[in-house]
Amino acid sequence: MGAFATVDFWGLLGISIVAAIGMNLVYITGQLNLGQAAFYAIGAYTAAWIDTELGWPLPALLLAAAVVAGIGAMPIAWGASRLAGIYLIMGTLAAGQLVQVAFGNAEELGGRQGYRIESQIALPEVAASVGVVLILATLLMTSRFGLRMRALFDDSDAAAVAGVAVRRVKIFSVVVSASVVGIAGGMWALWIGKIEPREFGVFLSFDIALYSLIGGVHSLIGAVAGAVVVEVLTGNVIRDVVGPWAFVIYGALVMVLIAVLPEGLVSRSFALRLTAPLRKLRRRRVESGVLSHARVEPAGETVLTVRHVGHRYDGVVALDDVSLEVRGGEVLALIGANGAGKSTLIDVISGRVPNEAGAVTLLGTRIDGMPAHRRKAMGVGRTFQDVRTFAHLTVEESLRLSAADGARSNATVEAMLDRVALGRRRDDLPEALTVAERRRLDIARAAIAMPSVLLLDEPSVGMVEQERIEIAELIGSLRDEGMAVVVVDHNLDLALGLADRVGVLDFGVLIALGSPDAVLADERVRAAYLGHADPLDGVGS
Amino acid sequence: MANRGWLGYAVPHVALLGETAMTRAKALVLLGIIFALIIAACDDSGDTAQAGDKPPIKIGLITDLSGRFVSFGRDIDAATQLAVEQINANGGVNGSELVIVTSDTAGEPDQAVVGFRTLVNDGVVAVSGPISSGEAEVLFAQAPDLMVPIMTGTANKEGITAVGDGWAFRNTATNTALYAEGMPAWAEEYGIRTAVLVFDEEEPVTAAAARFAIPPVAEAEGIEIVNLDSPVTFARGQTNFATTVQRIREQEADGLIIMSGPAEAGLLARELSRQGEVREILGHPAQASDTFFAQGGDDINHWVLPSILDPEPGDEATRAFLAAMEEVGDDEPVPEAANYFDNIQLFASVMRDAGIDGNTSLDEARRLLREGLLSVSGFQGVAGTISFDESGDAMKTVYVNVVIAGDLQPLG
Amino acid sequence: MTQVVINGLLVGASYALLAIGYTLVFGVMRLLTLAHGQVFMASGAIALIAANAYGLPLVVAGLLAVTIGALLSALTDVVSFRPVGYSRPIAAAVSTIGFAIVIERGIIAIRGDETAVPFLFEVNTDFRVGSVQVSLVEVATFVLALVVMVLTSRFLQRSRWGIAMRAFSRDPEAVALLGVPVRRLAVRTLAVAGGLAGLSAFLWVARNRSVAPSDGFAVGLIALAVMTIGGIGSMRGAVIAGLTLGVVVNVLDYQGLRGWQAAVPWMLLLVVLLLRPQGLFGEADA
Repeated sequence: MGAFATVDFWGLLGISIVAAIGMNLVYITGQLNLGQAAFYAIGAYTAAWIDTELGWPLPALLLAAAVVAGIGAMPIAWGASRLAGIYLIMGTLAAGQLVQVAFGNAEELGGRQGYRIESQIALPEVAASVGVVLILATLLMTSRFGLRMRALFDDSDAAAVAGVAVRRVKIFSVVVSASVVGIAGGMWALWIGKIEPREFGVFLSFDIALYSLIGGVHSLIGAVAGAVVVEVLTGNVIRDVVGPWAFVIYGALVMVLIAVLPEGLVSRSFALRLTAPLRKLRRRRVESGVLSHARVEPAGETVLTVRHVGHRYDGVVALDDVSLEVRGGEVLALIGANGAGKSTLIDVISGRVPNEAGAVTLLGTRIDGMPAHRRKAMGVGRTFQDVRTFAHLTVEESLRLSAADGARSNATVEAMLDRVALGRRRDDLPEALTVAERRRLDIARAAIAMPSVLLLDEPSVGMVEQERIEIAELIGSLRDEGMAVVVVDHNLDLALGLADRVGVLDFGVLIALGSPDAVLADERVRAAYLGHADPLDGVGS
Repeated sequence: MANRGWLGYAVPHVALLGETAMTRAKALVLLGIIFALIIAACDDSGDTAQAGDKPPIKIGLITDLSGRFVSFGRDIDAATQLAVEQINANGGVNGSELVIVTSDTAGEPDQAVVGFRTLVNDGVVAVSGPISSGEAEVLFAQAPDLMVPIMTGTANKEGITAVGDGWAFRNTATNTALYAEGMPAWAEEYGIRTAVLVFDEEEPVTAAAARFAIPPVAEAEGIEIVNLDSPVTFARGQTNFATTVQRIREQEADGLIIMSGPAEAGLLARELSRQGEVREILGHPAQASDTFFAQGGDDINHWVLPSILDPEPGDEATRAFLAAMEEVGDDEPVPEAANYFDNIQLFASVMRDAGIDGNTSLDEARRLLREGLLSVSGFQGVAGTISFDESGDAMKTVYVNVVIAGDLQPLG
Repeated sequence: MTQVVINGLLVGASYALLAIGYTLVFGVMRLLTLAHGQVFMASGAIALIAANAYGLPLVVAGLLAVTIGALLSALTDVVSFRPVGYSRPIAAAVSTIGFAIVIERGIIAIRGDETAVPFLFEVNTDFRVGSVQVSLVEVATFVLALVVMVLTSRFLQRSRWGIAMRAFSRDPEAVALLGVPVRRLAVRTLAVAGGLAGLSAFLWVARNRSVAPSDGFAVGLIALAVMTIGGIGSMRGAVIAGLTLGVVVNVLDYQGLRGWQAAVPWMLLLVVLLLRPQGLFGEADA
């Protein structure tokens, strides 16, 4: 045990924990940054230079490290927000390498020979810094903004529809993460007393990334766990004991852990179980409130207007000159064969895909051209055909994410939980829900901000009869409150049973629009369905 | 479609959801076992109880047992163990056995720092090491705070002992001292009036010599460095020297001064020979290792390397040391290993005179050792006599050697 | 100057060969192996360690390098891609970092230190064309890069196996349903990439006379940048980007700007990513 009792073991562990928290803050938005060594280096050099030249006190040194690293991260954050997947990995890797080369060539900062620091940081100061960073990070992650960051990990499309300004949140997370990693770098410089550019190479970036990947990105407990594991496995202690094979063991364990524990040592559900008592303690009894109706127009007013809208996928016409209106307090059902353009129409209205022609107007305002999160704020709510629940947000968090801003959002969430009968499920993750519960959550998320128009894509897929009836009642009650509802559903029973009007799409063309009876009697509708399925096949099934 | 997630991550993390509590438990158990093994192994590596009547005296050794300078580190380790064996065979220090506690830096300054503090924490009276000037600089700066004497036998960069406030010592020659002897001897032997400066800018061990020692010495000796404003540089780890040699070829000069680590020096020699570029070369002591001789083959003949050790020693103790070292290792040791042998002998001698044994309190022992070292004068080691100047640098005799058929011989 | 440009082209050919390996694996499996540089390094290092220890003839050492490269690379599938799952590309890439560490540190542990493994064969294949000096080994690397580029492109376009490989990259499940042995496809692709890495490692050590454990990332990361600059999945892009980079780096070195040459691949990469993310010769969403 002796070797673990050294001041250096605990000091370096503390510094790693800070870096791990920094990594979690960016990877939680789904951005795997493999260039964190750059910000670590910027923090280290900032603290070292200011210490030597200006002699500031320790808190000011670390604050400066955070600020400079954050500023340095801004261009990288901007670039990274345009990239994803392997391109993001390559881009951040490149940024890390460039910063390392730059410090190597900075002769004023000692160049490749490195830079020596006089001041030192002591263990209590490291502990205090870890504490402060941990508290600030916890506040951020549990805030509404933190919720937006976390939503991006699972599904940036669905997050945008839930009102998250995807690029802005991504940029912010890279910058704030860089600041925290910069603090870790500053602490490290002060701990060791000498920094050399070659220490800030790709291996450091890998280690920092592995803190999150091994420990678990969905909680700060995971960051701490990851830092402990990596630090022990790569630290001096194990090298003294195992010798040169220590790193081989480390590499092998990385492979095992990544394969066996995809979410890391502390998965989201594990973290939820760990923190359950805390949540109970904190949860104030919130009076079940009433959903705000501020946006809903008087029934019968035109809410949404679609004019001459067209869209193509790779040259294939998905929508061709579609025009329709939806009024407050009515359900418009869209039917048509697979690929007829129903989902594309919803995508165009909600801003997931751009319309190439025509206009979309909501309450007199042109909304085509706006990004999805702005349309959500304007009053467009939607669900996806493949249920897009956020895998790592609890039921309550999902609703809180989608609720409109404001002091009453807690009450609104409580009201919605009651309404869709998910109160007992509030702290569960979507994977624990039944199909029907997931659908209800999906609709609740789309409806909680009381949108003027609610777009539901296949709300009853995979449900049994009883569940369908419940969904239909829920949709009906939303309509009765004055929302304009557009439903796409394969189950014609449900669609026609609810619908005030029906629109039929065929190869992107709206071939009929009117009352259910009139549309089903339409010759063109019947003709269009020949060769497909009879439109009435689904009825009564 | 299934791969869209990779590029646009529409559905990248769906597959993350399959884990069960069982796999987590298994992984945690696996980690637990590994951690338990590490802790158990640590306990084994703890102190062994001493049978003798007096507790032992611990001396720390900080050196490179892995990393790029491992061939130096191994010889240094062997020389240190040899010194301790001889001292303990002769009754130890005032009745206490000497024990060496070793810490590997892997050539990284941060690990050197952590290793240094760990050794001090572990109760060493003094530390021998580290190898490189980059490491020495930062350890020497921390020695006064930790109040532990530390002595390198290899770091040649000027001025590194100045920050040590009397706690840091250098038992080897500075670069300036090495080349004040080496350069004129080389120039005279081969009739050198002009030279090209070539160095590895990422190798801290030798870049300092190229930047701070070579130019003033050359000026003093009347040797013109033709490319002082634009030295030919390369990076450690570089293996293709075609363009480096291309740059060298364009400089008109009699000789080449090459400051780099051993592997790069050997490869550069190969490429010079490949391009038919025959010049007289002055190298750095840090090159004189097995790696250099293996990598350079016949192409390093006539390289001139200054050294602190006479390759054909007249001194009996030195010959005995070299013979003993050849028994331990399979090859001739690096010359600087002799300095590390002397470090331990010097520590022991001063501690004997100061009456330090295993019962002396640590603080007292460290303080007395430091005072004793500061007043050392004319200590006879296997690598010449040792006296320290006011900053803690030993004034060593410098020998100028030349590589002949894979072996170091006196120049001239 | 001519000599410097030629040096650059010859060094660039090594980058290109390695980049073709990356792009082959990525093009077929849509997975990134960050251990490819280590496969390259290890096949050269192990072949040299064996040759130096047992006095193997040069040709045997070369064959050994190719074999080790193919085996280690195929092992990537067994220890990283398979256990993690083909549908988790980011996790799979991270797992290959673990594999890279195992290979690199394993070589260091076996060898006992981190210094370069020397190439002790005395072969002189140099010849002169006018004032320019090149070695046969370098010319072989260059020609090999071009031949491999043409062959792999054709192979992927024309042969049944190649067509299956391309289909795999678009929809692995569908290919599996059609009866193509997915796992064998993956292993073979990796083995081909690894064999190429082994061959280029052997040519590399024959020219540069050593290979160090740190060369895995030193060369591997540059090749990774080359692949992305050239366009992921494009053989032509890999070769053109590799050669260009070799020339630019050598010219900078020659001009005394060596300190910044390490920045060149990454600078180019960032510019390409921001202006044309699919790379110079890549197809959009390839």
